[in-house]
Amino acid sequence: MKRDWWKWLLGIWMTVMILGAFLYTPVAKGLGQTTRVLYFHVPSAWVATLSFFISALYSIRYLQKQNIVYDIWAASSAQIGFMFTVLATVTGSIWAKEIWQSYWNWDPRETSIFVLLLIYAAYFALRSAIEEKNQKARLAAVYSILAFVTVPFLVFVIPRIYDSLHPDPLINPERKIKMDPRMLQVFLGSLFGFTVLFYWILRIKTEIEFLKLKLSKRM
Amino acid sequence: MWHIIGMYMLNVLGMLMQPETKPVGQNIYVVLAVTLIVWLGVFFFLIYLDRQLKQVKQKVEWQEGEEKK
Repeated sequence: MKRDWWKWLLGIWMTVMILGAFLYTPVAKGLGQTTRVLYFHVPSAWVATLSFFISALYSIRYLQKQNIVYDIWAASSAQIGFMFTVLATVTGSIWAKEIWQSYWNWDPRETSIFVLLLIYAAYFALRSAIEEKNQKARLAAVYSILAFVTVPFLVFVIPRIYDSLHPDPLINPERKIKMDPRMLQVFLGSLFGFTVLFYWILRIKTEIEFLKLKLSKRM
Repeated sequence: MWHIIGMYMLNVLGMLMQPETKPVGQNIYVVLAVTLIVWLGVFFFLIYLDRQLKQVKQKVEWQEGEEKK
């Protein structure tokens, strides 16, 4: 119980953030009530990017040390990243229906997240296609690093090169945060909460995989 | 006079036949849907992980019991 204090704190923190998103923050011009989507959709996308980054880091570590533990961390992180990418895509699509009158219209932002989903779906296909553990880990590590190279382009570069209907990103070309201070407080709070949530899920996921490894070694 | 009334009637008819336009971005249910999808997504993923963890722990315990025998 004592060790779990931060989980309870996270629960309270996220409750405050949800209440803040609905009751404290103003709405942005032109977006109306759907502005509030920002506090859930963007952190999902952020966690997805962070997960893929961590997956790539552990993949590099695996290639350096050849320790299967690093492969477990990399695969678990990529799995969580994939789940959050799906969440960001679905929530973005619902928002698009309200604002753009269509669930999907191949906007640069939509296209790039779709390509990202395909790239990481291929990562899991690759993992499930190879039986031998070390070979699987080695190939998956190389693929994960290569896959992450595309992430900055797909998430940050391509949507800025082509004309997009997507609202301005937080870090815009003028390098100014165009956001009401109250909105920024809740937004950053939500980002922090989602990051801790990611850490929690990653810990559970890796614990499962370590136990599975322990089982397979005994058999 | 009749042509003014006729024009007025046409105008009213035209207005009635216009599709109903809702202000964009005022649908709070969209925000509700997004919030619920994110939370249910995370919740079900945690439930799935919790089940996996229980199953693996049971297997480990069973194996440890077998080894003691």
